[in-house]
Amino acid sequence: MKTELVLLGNRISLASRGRRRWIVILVHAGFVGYLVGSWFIDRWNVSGTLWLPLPLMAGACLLSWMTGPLRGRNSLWRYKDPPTSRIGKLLLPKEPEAADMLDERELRWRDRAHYWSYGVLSFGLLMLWVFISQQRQMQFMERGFPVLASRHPWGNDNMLFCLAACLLFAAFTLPQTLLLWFAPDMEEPHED
Amino acid sequence: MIQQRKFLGISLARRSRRRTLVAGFWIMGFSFAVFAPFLFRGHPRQFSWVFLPFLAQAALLGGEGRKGLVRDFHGHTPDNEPVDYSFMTPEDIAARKEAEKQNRLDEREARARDAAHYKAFELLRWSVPLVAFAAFTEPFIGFAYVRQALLLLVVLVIQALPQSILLWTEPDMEEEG
Repeated sequence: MKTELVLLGNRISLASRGRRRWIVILVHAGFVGYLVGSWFIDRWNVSGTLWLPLPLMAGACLLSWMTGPLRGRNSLWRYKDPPTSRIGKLLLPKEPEAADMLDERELRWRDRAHYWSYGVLSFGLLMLWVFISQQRQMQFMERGFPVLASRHPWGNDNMLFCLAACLLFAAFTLPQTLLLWFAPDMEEPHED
Repeated sequence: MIQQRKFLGISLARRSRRRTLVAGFWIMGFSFAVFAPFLFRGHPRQFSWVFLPFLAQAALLGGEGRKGLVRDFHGHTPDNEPVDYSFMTPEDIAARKEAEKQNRLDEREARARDAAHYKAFELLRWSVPLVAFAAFTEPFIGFAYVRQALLLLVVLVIQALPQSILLWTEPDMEEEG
């Protein structure tokens, strides 16, 4: 996990958990702010389709960078021996560096964060499908399902878009958020 | 992490047998997801006919309940907070403790569970853009069945992927008896 963020030449220490939590809150508030602001600008017309990936990717990249090797590509699939097959070499093209390798405690954090995220994302996906099925009236769901979305005063499309956008954001930021939120205070980075 | 070592009288102690079972499960699930929207169109009980087999398959694999091939994921782990027994009668406390004892995951099982969810999350994460795409697109009659099949596949992934990874990766066990 990164202990220092260099922003416009200023060094910001990320060693304290409180500061990390503030950054996580700011990233999420920024995404919510974008959704609210773009609603008032063009009702999520262009801003909700063409420009949505920008805040989404920015938040995901920043949080992934802050978590460091816990979400880094080289540590995604940890292996004991280098791959020998062609497919293995394609998926894991190079030997992970020692700095990217996670110790037992970090592996446990990473896996636990993904366990929690899996539950949240599964529930969100099922909810999204309930809304989709309500709005699109899929034939096999016409019976036996409560009418949820169509009675909502905000309207079907907007509700569906908002839920889908939040789920997209959660899919790419939730494990990092949990890791940054719950990781304890670390040692301050040493001055060079 | 695997609590039932037999399925229909066949021993699942060997990993190769478990892998065969998992492969069969996914072939069946995938075929069902693709063909069910066509087979059950216009049926008065389509919802039940489509989702009940999925619930039955999930119950077979376990993970979300005390029955099934894989142990309950939500069991008490060593690093959980101590349970609060306030405002409970002694009988209830005893029953609760007995249930927790049966449903307890040790350190290795908790780690295997988390690692399986870590791998499963990577696939689930990339299914969200697919679902969002389905949410943002306008339905038309030709695409409706693709959407239904996609829904069933996502439900299948959500309900069965971590369990399948565990059954696939757990090493050989000792044969019973």
